[in-house]
Amino acid sequence: MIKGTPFDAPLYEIDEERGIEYRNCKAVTVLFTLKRDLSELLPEGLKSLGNGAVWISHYGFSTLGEYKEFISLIQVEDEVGDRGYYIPYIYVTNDAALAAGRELAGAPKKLAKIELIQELDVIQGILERPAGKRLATVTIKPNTRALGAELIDFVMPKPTHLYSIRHLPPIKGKGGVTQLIKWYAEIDFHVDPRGERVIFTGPASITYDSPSIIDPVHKLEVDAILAALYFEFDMKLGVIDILRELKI
Amino acid sequence: MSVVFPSKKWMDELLKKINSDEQYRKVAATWEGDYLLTVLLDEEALKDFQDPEKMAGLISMLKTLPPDKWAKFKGRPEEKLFEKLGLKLDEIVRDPSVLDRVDVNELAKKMASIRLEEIRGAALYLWMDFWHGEFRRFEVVAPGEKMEAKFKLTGNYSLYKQIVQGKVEVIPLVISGKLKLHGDLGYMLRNMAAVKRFSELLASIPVK
Repeated sequence: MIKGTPFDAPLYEIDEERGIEYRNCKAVTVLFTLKRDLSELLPEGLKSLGNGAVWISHYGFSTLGEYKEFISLIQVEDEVGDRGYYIPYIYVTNDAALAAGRELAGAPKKLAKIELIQELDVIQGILERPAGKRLATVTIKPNTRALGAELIDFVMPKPTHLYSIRHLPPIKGKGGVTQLIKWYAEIDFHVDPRGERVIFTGPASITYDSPSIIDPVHKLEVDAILAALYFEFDMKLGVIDILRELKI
Repeated sequence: MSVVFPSKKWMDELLKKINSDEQYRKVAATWEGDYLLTVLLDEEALKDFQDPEKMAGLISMLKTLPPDKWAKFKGRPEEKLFEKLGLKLDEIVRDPSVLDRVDVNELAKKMASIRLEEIRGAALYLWMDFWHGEFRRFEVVAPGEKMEAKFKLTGNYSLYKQIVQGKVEVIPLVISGKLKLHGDLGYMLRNMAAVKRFSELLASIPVK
């Protein structure tokens, strides 16, 4: 088991072989073209493909506990030609998820208020930090079954590669670590009794309601929405490798 | 001024529009690849082609097909459609200029008696060739041609009509599974600026 601290009462414990496991999850994700080049946010070794995404999810159960998550993503290609998503900003509602994400994968997680609610004919995801300061709202009307398997599996292949920077600041020049980490999400879409994957699509919007210099998720400016999905799924997260040591 | 969709005039207008757009030239400067569009005739197509103007538009497109390609329709649903319209494929194969002499009003009237089940699978095949910011060629092709195209897009006439009218975008239709897209999706997603500008220009042509 991989364990966090304190060693006698760790905040998280993860089975290295099985990864972090998730059950009964719901998410909305919107893929869009970026209004401007965001290469300045990317570390060496990753190349932007010009598209961004936001993901807001509720994990009904996970081996880190129940929590919600908001992720800003930039679609990238790494040096071996694998496609995936670099994570410049990510927020969660659970301290174990925050610690495990930061310490293992380098996901720059912060705690925030995140909601994923179904009301009337829409599903809405929100990110607030602090509560009341609305950084982002994603609204989707999932009115159509998403049957375009080829494109969906292209956007969220199994595994979906993720990239982030694991950083342990040095103390007086010693012990510092800055690494580009490649990790993955293996998404298993739920299948309904008719054998169809529970993925819906429909019109959607993303608004950065009250931009904040402290949490600049609005940097991923939306040019045009390519696809918006609501889906139900199980998932497994794991780390693939340290791609490179970075100098900052 | 609006043009009839589908028609040769519409094809010419689109070619002109894309090639005169500086922004497209810039965002598609590195694009290398062609599309084969399969436009499946559906109920809406059967209804639209009862309009003599639209029927004339369809015929104007078919007339651009080189004479040696007509035999490729043999035994296919398109041949059934021609038969129902009173057009003999053998005659067209021998002399495609018979299409110059057809009475589009008469063809449009005959369209009203055709049921979709009788011609299911009949399609119009269009080939678009893009290279380094230029829309090099836009042609009607025969079944089985250009199968090596970098992208193949297949869907009902009514969907293509909505795309041309700017009512819907291609990618959401592909996500929903209503439109089938085969090809190098990674290449397409890396070049969405070119795809997007093309869609904007496509939708900017007023059609009737």
